Amino acid sequence: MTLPATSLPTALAPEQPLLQVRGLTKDYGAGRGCRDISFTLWPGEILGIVGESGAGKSTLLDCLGGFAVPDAGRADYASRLFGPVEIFGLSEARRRRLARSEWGFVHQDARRGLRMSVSAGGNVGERLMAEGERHYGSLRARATDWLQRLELDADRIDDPPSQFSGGMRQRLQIARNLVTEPRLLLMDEPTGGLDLSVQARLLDLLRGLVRGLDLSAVLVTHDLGVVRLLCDRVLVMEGGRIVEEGLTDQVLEDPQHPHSQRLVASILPV
Amino acid sequence: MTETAIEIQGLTKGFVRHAAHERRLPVLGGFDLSVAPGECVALAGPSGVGKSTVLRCLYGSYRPQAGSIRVAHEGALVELVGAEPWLFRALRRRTIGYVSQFLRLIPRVPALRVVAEPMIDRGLDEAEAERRAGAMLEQLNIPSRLWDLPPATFSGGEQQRVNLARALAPDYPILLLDEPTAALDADNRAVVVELTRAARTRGAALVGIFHDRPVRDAVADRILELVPSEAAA
Amino acid sequence: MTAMDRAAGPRRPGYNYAFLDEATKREIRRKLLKAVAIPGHQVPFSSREMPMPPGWGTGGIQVTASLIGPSDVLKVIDQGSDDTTNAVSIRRFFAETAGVETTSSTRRASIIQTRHRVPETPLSEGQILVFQVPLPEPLRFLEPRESETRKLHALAEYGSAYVSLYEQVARHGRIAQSYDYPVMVGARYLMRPSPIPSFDNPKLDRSPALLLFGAGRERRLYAVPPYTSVESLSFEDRPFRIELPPRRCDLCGATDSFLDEIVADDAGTRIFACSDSEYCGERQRAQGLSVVAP
Repeated sequence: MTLPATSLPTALAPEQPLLQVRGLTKDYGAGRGCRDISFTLWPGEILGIVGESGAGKSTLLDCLGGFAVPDAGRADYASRLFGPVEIFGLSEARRRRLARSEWGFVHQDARRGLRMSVSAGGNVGERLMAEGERHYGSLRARATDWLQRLELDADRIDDPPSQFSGGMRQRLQIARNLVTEPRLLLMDEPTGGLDLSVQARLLDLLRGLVRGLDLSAVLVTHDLGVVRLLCDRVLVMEGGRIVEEGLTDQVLEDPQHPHSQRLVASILPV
Repeated sequence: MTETAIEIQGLTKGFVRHAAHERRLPVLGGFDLSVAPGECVALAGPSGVGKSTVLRCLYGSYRPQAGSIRVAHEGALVELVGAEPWLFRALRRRTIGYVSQFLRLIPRVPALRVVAEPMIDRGLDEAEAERRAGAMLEQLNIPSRLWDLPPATFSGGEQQRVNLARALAPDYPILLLDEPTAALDADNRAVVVELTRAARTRGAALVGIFHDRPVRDAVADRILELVPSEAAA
Repeated sequence: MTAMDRAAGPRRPGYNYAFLDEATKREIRRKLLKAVAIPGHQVPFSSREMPMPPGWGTGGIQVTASLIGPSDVLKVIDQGSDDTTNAVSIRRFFAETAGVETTSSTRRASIIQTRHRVPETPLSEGQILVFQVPLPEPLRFLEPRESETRKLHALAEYGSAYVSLYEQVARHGRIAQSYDYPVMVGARYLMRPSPIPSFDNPKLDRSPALLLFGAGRERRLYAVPPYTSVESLSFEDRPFRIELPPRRCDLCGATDSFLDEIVADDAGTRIFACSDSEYCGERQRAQGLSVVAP
């Protein structure tokens, strides 16, 4: 049998993208912000966005997370609740509904993503309560389950995060986001500021969770070690623009753009 | 016309080092290779001639400047040069296995899981994937008391065997082997030879780099000597 | 007739009727109409300086002032009592500036201004209960930004209100909040009922009286029109419950009223007595007792 050299049969094309960003621009002036950003995120994929401080990666994430309003561009998202939607044109009510159910946002500083005076259980249960869960026992059970999945001691369910270490807070923030089983997780330097050993544990947990939950993620980091461990694909940003993109190993082993080469050259050997 | 698993034509790949005054390092210039199912081709030649570059272009880690790489994937011959990342992800899940010299360590995942994961990704149910992973580890002399431990704690040879198990267990139609026996003792080299020949027998197409000549002679149907790219001179 | 009861009389000269100028009263009435139209929704209003400090019920007083007419009968209670300094001075304020009749009788009053209680005697149609409110925003506990709480109300995103109930059950094994217990009004707006005991919450539900709330310092008005549903927040497996104290009033013997623990004499003897002084007195009279004020 000889196989025909054809263009790709449609059956081989991947399923519908989860998120498709086109021409996203947010200009803060003075060269800050992001310009003409386009990319596609597929279901089950972790996309890394790397670049130095000021490259525009956090601006991009803020726009996607609803913390900043873009000047131009669109982002089409395949919603479980509403079907295909363009997220920047959504009504506030729908956007917020998605943000607390289908999306998660993990801040570098866990204090931004947690209620520091509310117990760990209350933090994890909040999104469920926002989604209409009114059964205390069930809130409690699901909070316990998610604390354990993030390797947090379930006995500490009633302690406030102010009594937790940095690594524990970050895991609690992730539990709080994942409890509604979101489809899309946006993470801004989730391991930044943590000790190396604490980082490794967190990355490993994230990797397992993403595999197990059919979750897609956009992860902003300046740490290529994090990218190597977690990401399927990478965008390299410089001066607000994407200068290179590819599979993680393509970008790390064969960087094309001068900026990517500089970044890769600066990684410590693992 | 014979059946084709891999068809490389005019493959050109070099590197530009922007930080070093735009220095150009051409490696492959117009490289051709054709591999049939059930065939094992050994790449040979001096260090730096581009043997690993061929494997990495096939796996998608390197992006060629010119030429064509087509591989049989899901019943079609698909072009890899310029292909979208999702195609490589699909190829790596379904079609191409790759044994590098180093195991990409995932800190806390147990060895059995490391080997089973690619099979689970291919749709095998978890129990069956772990059963096959166990069988493969056993064949490669990784004692079962180590299966629940993360390979990060293993010796170099043990890690390499876990790596081999991970690439060999899923029965990929195409296998790329970069020094598969580098850190192994004689007994384990023999096991790898046996496994490689078994893969050939079941119809896999293999491309490998084997510095160990007895191993190469035992597994390869054909040896392709690479010559330095003219442009490199 | 008790000492609190005073017939309608002449007004003190030199002040406008009920102290506030007519334009201000009209503005407050307009805002109150809006509040009635959107039960439980907080309507901003331009709270005026009053001849008493904020925190003494200036919000309630402005509401009462904008509504009260010469034929109204006013009752003022503070923690259920008609004769605390605060109740007395507010009552006198309206007696002097509006010349209206005042009473301690819940049944006779057409307007009852209250701080921290709902009278035990059931209210009836045509009556208006005016609450003095220190803190109107039920979501403040979790959200300090006013712009954000407004959005939460607009979108009816009340999940975070349950966080504070969750915290109480987690800490105390039950919802421990006994005052200012949050309610859903008309199944739409989350509302603070002002610091009344949760014991009084059921009295708000489908009340035949009009309930008006005024927060002077925070400049907010809100309302519950007659027969509107007022539901106390709860979990399915932790229903709202009133914890009745297992005792009766030492003065009138009531078992169905909200009791205060008070020191009765110089020896430090503690007794439990109705917080609603008028209710307690009426019951004592009906039993032929000589009336003791709690």
